[in-house]
Amino acid sequence: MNARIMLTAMFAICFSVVSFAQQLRVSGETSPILINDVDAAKIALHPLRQYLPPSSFMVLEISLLDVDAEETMGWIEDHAPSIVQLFGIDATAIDKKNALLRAADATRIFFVASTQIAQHRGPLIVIPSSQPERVAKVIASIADQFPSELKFGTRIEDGLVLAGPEQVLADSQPSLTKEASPLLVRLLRSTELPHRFVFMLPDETREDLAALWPKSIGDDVRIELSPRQVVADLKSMSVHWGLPPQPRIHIEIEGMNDAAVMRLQSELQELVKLTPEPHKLLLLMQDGRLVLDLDAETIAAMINPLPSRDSQ
Amino acid sequence: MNDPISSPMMSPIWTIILAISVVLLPEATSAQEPVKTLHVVPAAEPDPALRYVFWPAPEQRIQGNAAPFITRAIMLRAEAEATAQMRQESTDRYNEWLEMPLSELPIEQVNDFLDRHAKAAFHELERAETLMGIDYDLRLRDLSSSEMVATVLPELQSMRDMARVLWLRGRVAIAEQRWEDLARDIRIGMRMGNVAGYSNDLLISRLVGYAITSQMMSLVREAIQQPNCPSFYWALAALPDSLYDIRNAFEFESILLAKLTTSFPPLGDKPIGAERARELIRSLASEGGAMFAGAGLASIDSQKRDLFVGIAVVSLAEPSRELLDKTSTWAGRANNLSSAEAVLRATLLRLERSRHNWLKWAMMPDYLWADYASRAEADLGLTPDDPDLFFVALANQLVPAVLAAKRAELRTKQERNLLITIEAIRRHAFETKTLPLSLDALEPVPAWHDPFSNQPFSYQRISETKASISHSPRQPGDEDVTLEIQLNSLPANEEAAK
Repeated sequence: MNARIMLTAMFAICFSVVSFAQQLRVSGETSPILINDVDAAKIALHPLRQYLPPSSFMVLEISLLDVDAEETMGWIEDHAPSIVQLFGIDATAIDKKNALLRAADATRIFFVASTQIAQHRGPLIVIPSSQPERVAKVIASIADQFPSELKFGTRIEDGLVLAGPEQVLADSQPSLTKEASPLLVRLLRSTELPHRFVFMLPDETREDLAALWPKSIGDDVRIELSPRQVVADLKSMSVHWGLPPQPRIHIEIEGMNDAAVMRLQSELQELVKLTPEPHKLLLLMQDGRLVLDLDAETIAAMINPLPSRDSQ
Repeated sequence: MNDPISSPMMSPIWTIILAISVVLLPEATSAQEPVKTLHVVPAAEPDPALRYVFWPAPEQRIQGNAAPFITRAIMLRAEAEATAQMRQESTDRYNEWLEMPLSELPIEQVNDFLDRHAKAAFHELERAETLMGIDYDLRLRDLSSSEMVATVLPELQSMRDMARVLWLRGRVAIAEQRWEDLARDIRIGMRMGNVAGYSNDLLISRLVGYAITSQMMSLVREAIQQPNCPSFYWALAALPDSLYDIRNAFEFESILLAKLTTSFPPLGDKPIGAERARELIRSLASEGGAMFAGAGLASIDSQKRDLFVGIAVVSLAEPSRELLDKTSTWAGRANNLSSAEAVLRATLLRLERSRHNWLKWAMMPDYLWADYASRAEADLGLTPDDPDLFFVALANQLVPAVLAAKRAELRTKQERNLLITIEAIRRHAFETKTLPLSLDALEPVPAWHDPFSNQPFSYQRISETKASISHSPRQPGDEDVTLEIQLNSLPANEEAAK
């Protein structure tokens, strides 16, 4: 193959990707988030693009390059030792497994939950890597500690390691749709924070819940929140965060429309009120979305209402 | 005293708790520690043969309703024990005297107590003995499923309490070797068990009936260990099999599930749309939630119930479509249904299948039950993966009760047949002065079969005066299945009379 043909082929591929990405439309979008907000090529090439069926409602992305469990646990222990004791997390073991995954060229790990998560007994895990066999081995060694009835397994598909309980793997077949998954669009919104979580219900699910859920949680819960109204108004929630030593959390909430955003602000203000003084959270309105930012000091105060060591 | 069926109102959780309680009752509420060795004496056939019977003789039976007299007996007894202190004192006395060895029973004191507390009640019970009708219609069929489940039945517990009083009077009769009086008390007790059991077609009623019957059986067990006790072979044989039948109760309780959807119009086989499906789901959840609460299965407020139902609809949509896709009606069309409609239709399908499974196994005759019980259990049991709203949990709660109720029926029959077999052995011993070599060798009357296995009880003669007899386990894990029979000699006067 001469260089000219090769160049033409590469151009054709790039053009195809871009033109495909440009055709992508996010179904039912009425919110301020548009496909143009993100790099369309990123969507077209994203490892999850074929594994987000319409029933997906949650994606979690962890950047393995930005995980230092020992450092994180050390920070938490400084600020809330009871949490560390409570969970008994073995940070060293986590870092070892993380190192093995990174050595196998895995830098990101995705968790996808669909509305069938209860039947699936867990989310689908997707790990892109140029050495998927090595990654699968590491995952298998982690899965050895899971209950056998979970029937946790792995499968390699085109540079991806898919992992999860038997049923979720069986149901997770690659499927490309014309329309970009709105979850993926939100996952890819630019942010400097490395770890991400997006929650967005499929339209029918939202309508079902809005019709069936109660208007109030009940007298025994002190929060005045209407599950019916919240689910009807909430379009998506994105959480981006960074881990210690400089933890940060950035939350964005989208409403179904402007009136919904106003109602959500009012409803969620009830939750915000519960945060301890003097670190009162501020739920801000930015570009038609509700935004909440938590810095290290606020996070420390929230995980442990008692004064931290540093502040004593 | 072990008395697990002691709720004063005998209400919501009746089916479950009672079934489990009855299953757990050791040796049919025996008054003493479970008897491991029965010391028996040979016994001749009474003369005439049916001198002692535990069921009204044909010529004694009267057309008439026994229920009002039982109710009056309960009320008269309640009147005689009007204060809480009196009731407590009474309960303490009964517990003490029912557990006490027969030889230590203070006869005069007990008689005096019974005279003061239960004389008028006994009079009414005696009037009820030969009235063979039972008309106690609570119009349960007119109630919704939640109302039906929440119906409180304090009269059942009162009947059971009344049976304990009768049991005590029977013990006095045994101690004084007044066998005619004992037979009459057992007859009255059996009739009371019959009235309790058939006052309606709820399983709980049958189970209380069994409990009362078992109390009377324990009197027989105690009696046949006394010297001079006549043979009760024909007395026990007189008890009708219909006394134990539970099939009608299974059928009636299956209506509970059917009633959940009686207000629904026929859904047909065309999609009804998400909005209508959600509306019907709300109605189903409301009635089902009330039924849960009424049955004491879950105390959940309507807000949390609706939260749960919403999540269930969302998470069960796909498995519901898969289930419907396997049916002839929805094959190839299930994916066109909205999530709410798929879940609704799958729920109704599961509900109907459960009800049919429930009913079909109830049709199985006793003699096949032992071989097919595990299959019935598997068929009736639902797995958490079954796509329906909350009936998985409900059915999983009710199914053990159904199986336990069936075991209770068979156990009551088993106790009767075991006692009849022991009485056949006593007859044999009267003729031969020894225990039989095998149950096949019994003369002049045969052994009856173990209804759990439809086979003879397992019998082994150890010596001319010692043998062991075993029955099938009465519930899973039942290891207390063997009795030793020790044959004692007839008292000198009886031997001389022979």
